[in-house]
Amino acid sequence: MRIFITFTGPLRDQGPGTLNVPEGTTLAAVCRQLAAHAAADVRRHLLTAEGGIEPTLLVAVNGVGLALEARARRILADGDELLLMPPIAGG
Amino acid sequence: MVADEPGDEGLAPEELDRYSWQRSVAGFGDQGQRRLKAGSVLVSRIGGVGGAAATYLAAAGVGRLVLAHAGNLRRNDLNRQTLMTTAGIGRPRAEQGAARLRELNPHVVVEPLPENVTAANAARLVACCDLVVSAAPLFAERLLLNAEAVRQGKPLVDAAMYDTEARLTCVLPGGPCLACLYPAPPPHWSRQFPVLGAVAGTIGALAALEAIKILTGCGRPLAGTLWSFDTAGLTCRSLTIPARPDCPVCGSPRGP
Repeated sequence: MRIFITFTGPLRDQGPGTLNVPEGTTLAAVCRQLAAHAAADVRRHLLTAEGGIEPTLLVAVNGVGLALEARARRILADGDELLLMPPIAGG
Repeated sequence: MVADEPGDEGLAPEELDRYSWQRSVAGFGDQGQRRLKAGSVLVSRIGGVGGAAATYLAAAGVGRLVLAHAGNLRRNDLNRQTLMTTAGIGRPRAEQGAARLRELNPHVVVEPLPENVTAANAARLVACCDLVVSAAPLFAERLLLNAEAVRQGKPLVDAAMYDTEARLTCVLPGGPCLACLYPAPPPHWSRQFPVLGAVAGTIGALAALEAIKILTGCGRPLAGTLWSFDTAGLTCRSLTIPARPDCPVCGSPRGP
């Protein structure tokens, strides 16, 4: 299935793009897949040192923000639009 | 006629004239103007974002503005900190900003505070005003203000930018808060970030607008929503903020 991914903030240059993943793929697995091919300064916005989704990364699927506890177990569906927004605080 | 004497509507004749173009805005009117005059706003840092917010709040006639920003102006602040002047390099930002705003609108009480938000002063700073505009370049300061605003039941407008992107949200009593989005200061945020002054100014102006909407009841402020736009392509999106029942700031029952 195909997942459409948009990146913002410090990750904006990573996309937008599509990712082909097997049915039943979780959001966490997608983040790990993205991080596996990324430089360290990109990977750190996606994953913690322990391999979990970085808790301050804002994540939305089809425009709906996901609470922390809902992220790890979220299973994506074909055509889902994933938005990954690292935190920004420029003032 | 004494311009600074309150008129029949609580507004001096000079004020009625000064604000005449906005008093005709639908839903604003003289009542909105009086509410604005009765209101007070803390602006946390008056850099590119907060300086623009403070400018439009002063122009609109907020009764009292408290400008919290430590330190002296540097030359490389001037691509975005439009409250400042070249002549002010090396001088305190808060005092310069206050002086410029008093020149813009002498009806506004402007109080400069040469301090940034800390754990030691956050409660005092939030307590001194009706509403908070949060525009510091550090998450630690934003999260401290958020926690105090929630604790004291005061609305907070949070505006931030990076490169060509900007984000805006309002934390209103009873709603989700900044800590629902960011449970801790993000470890990878860099104090040095790319800034086009016009991007900072745009989101600062929108932050002022949200504050005006909250203070006057005119319009519908952002609530429970993170609004973002990217000026590179002029695209925008709204993201529902997922409230966290276990949020240590807003998810627990509050004390009296």
